[in-house]
Amino acid sequence: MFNSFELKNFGPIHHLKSENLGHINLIIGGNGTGKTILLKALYSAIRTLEDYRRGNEPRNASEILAEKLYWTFETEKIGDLVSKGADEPLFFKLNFDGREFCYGFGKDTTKIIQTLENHVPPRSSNSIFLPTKEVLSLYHIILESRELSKTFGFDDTYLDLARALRQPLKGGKNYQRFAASRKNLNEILDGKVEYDEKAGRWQFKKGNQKFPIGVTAEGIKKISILDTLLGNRYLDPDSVIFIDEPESALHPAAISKFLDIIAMLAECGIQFFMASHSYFVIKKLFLIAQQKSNLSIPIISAEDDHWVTENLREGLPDNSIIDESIQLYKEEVELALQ
Amino acid sequence: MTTEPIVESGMTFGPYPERCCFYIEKSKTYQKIKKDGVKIAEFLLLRSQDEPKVWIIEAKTGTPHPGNQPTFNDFIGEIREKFANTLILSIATCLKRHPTCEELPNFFKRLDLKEVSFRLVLVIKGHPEDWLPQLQDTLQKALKPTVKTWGLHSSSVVVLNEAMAKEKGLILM
Repeated sequence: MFNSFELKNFGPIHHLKSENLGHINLIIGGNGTGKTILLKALYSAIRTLEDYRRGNEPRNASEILAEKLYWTFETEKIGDLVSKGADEPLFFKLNFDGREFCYGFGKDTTKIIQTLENHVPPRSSNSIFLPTKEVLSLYHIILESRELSKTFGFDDTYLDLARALRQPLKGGKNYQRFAASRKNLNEILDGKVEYDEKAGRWQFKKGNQKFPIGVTAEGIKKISILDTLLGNRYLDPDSVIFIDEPESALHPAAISKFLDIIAMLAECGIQFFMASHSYFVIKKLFLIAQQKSNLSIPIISAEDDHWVTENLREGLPDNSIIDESIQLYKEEVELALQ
Repeated sequence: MTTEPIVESGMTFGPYPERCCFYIEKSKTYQKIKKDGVKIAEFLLLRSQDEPKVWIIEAKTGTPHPGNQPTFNDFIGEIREKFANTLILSIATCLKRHPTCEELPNFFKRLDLKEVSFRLVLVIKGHPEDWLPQLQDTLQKALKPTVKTWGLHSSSVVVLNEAMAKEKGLILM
């Protein structure tokens, strides 16, 4: 798992160093602070480590990373990722299972990363990024636009997810904890999403009834994706899952259940990084941190131009999401007692 | 002339202009019915006479943690009962349904009950600010039948901590 990371001059993030990461890590901050960029930076790095030396992969880590950054951030040249006006180059470092991986490049870099150091051994596990938009109804469009047309539009987080979903479901004995999580996921779903090979499309199956994916609720599709990745064994206990806005398309009650399942999976070994704006996400994770003594939940928050890492186990830190709920409450008091 | 300060739950409310405060919990009217198990809030405060607003004040030293069930539900149930009873008793007294109704301060006697706006205000000593929004939401939900049946303003139920009660002029010292 990620033990720590450090970013310097990475897009809007001038400096962020976070240590003592947990199995669930929450990232919060206002719009434009760089939450999604942080998730994508971590994702690009771990996917580089996972592709490196896998099978007959001929590329070195530097080549894999450059391509991953290009297709994940969809910039004309990767040097565009360096903070505007920064005097120094972009720098990224992570510690994974006690081993370091770091790289750096300047603003004129097009595709060759000069500085890269890797001490992390090759990984057989897969990590995944769940973006805010669901992919099931866009499945063919994503694959076509990236694999045939090779055009920008759906970045690598979408392509990798569509490819991961393409793997068929596997029977047999599932990881026991995954089986319990899938059972809970199915309770929320009240059905399951399946790929119809004949028709060549995804559909939602409830009992004996089948519904086109286009008329299936967004929240159902979102939860189904996680269920499918657990069912086809794309994910294993050493995977890392990045979720951008887990709250999107989910009712607060479903957010709560979804996060309970995430806590179960985290206890099983999977590491999560989530970026959120939601009052319900932060509150629920705070409660999980209080209830589960074995789960440390760091909260990495952007305030103005600096980042702070605290732990939800120690309490709910001051943050703009809770502040806004208090502000709304105060406005209501003003209205009532004016 | 002002009333004596009212000390409840470790907080000192007032003093307020004499004819604007009715310490209903200590009133003769309430003392007569208290033995029948009627629970009520502490006092009434008339905040404005042009557009009459009556705040019904209940004070508490703290709240049980929302995770501590059923104590938290019991707490909410008790506050709901006190506010509902106080609203009814206040109106019944203004309507002179009790022989002790003369104890009402003059401004209250002259209230146009059709026009008066009520607020049900819970003041909790030392309550963390970030717990207040959820507590207010919970209490608003519990008192919804009262708010709806009496045709009160939809934001009639308010929860304050001591600091906010000072800001709102309830606690003066």
